[in-house]
Amino acid sequence: MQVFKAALRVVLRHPLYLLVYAVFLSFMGVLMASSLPFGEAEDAEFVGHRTRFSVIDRDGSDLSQGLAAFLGERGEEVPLEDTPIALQDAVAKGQSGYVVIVPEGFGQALMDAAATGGDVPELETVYSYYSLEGNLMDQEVNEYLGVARAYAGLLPDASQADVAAHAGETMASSASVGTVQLGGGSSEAQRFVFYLDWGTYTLFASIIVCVGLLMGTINRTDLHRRNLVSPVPSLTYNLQVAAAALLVMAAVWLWAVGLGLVVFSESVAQIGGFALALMLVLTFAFATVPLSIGFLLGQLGVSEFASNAIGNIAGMVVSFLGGVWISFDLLDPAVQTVAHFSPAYWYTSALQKAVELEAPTPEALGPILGDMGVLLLFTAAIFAIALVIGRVRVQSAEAGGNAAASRS
Amino acid sequence: MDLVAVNNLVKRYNEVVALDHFDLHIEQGEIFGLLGPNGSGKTTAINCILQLLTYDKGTIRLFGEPMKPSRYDLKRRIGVVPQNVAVFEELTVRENIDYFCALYVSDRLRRRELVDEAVAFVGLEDYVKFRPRKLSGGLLRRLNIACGIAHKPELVFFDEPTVAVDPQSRNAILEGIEQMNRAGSTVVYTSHYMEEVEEICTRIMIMDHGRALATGTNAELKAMIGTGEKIQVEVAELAETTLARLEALPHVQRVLYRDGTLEAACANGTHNVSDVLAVLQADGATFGRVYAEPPTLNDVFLEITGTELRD
Repeated sequence: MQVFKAALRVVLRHPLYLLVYAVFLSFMGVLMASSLPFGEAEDAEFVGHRTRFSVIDRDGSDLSQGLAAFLGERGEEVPLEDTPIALQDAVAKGQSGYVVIVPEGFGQALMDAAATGGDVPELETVYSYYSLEGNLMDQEVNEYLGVARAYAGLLPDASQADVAAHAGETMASSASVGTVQLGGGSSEAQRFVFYLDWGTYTLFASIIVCVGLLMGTINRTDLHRRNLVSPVPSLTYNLQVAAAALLVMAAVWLWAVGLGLVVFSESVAQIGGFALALMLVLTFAFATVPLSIGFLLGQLGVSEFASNAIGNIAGMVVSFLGGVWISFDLLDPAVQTVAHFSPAYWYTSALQKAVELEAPTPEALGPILGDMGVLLLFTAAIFAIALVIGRVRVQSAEAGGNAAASRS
Repeated sequence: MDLVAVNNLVKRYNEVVALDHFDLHIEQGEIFGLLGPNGSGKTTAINCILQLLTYDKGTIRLFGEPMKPSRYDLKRRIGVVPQNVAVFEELTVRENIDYFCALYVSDRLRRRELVDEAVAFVGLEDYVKFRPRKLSGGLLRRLNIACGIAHKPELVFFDEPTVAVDPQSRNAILEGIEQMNRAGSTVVYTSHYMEEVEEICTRIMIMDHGRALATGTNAELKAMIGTGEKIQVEVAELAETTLARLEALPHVQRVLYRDGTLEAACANGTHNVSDVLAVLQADGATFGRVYAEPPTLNDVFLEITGTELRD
């Protein structure tokens, strides 16, 4: 067991890695999952954003009042004095997201323009370049004026009040908006699913770095050769190293999953026992992928620094392709296609199916086990590549040429 | 009985022949020196013996038994101190020694004794809780040795253990090796430092280009060559005619003049120094200090191979 103990000591003597990757990233997952509105939007009505706006009406016409009334339907009016200081303050202090100044004679000018086919007179507006709400409000004002101009043109005898009323009615119609809960099961349960999805990053980075460090140290040529001349059979030696790597993986998995189970106990309570067990097994199966990558890095003799970089980058890329950072449905179709070559896709897909599982029927379990099979294939393929590289390395003279030992 | 018996060993790296029908026989209780320049095949020979390398031809027997990668019973009786320091950076001095000792000795109590002895043997008592990165080069070498010998092997291979070591640590290492030998271990010591090999080895093999060129005790090797005495004279200027006259002296084998020093290799004779000085005096050469010494292993190597021992 000496090799096993030494291998574990190698990892434990780098507590910062465990702290930064396993602990910090897990807590980041907790923070992110906690901040998202799972379980709150269900059955709730959609409430549009109401922009704070101000109208400086120097015209006082029916049309300008109609415009102010229209804006009042869309946002919250902030009364503003018509003085330069007040205008400056409103913009500088963010009291109002959108300020429109209607010049004197604007209503009549618009009616004249409609009758003669001229341009709509311009309004003076103030909003920040960085303000999306101000920009959107401005688009609506332009749309309102466009509709008003159209009515004024079509109905030459109509008064400004008629035109304003028609424009207000037209602009009042809007598409109905509601919230739809995607996926089955309790939406609160999705909080735990999200946490496990985020686990793709935590598990990938932590396990790749820790196992890569362990394997890289144990496989260091000079140490490896010293072990090869000892009376410990290669099989025993390798099994001890593998057991240590597996224990590191299991410890990281247990920590990440355990933290989620404790922190999101309310969410977990809404998932069936069988589905929950299945989700934990899926997470364990997923954790074998970074384990195999760590093993591969060890066989390649990758440095500690490189292991860190690879663990981080791979974790980010894989979690992105699994739809953790941006919902998978919002990804570009090409990216979605690429994601199929990432283990995180199959993992998150299987997790979603598992949380929606109502009964453990063969029909329901089939796709989940299929996804898990794909995950395990990733692991097997990477392990196979690592073993081939390891054998080539063992046989190469540059690596110390310890081919003879491998005959045992 | 030969503790190590290597016969007709051939090892090729593609076109390069690293070991060319190499033979080696080491008896129990010896400190056997493998002397040769870098690239002469010393480490390759040891790696083949330890089954770290495959070989193309030949037989290797250790303790009278054929050595194979799976002969763990034989490996248990062997200790290896590799050329490069091979220890865990993450483990302390004591943990490192304990780890490598545990590969050979499973009994914990026995191992504790052995580790204590190894620590004392290399003088690392004050550093047992240190990590390797805190140790100096010499202390690291000592740790490397402790890791290889803690299990008290019957046969120990030291592969250039004093490379990049300060003179104090070097002396401690050489003393330790002699002490181990006195305690019953047979030692195979490779080096390209002739003085070390000359100092501690009971028998020496000179090898180059993968071949054993000569084997014997220090005295036997020196007796193999014609040089009996080496004379060095500090001479400010020396004419070509004087050099020719010196070379013509009956016991002088060869002369060389460089950097103000005349070197004359002579066969055994009773008045070589006076003959050389007489020629210099006769030709009016002004000379300073004069040295006369018996041949070194370097002279042996020079005479056998025709080249200096490469560094």
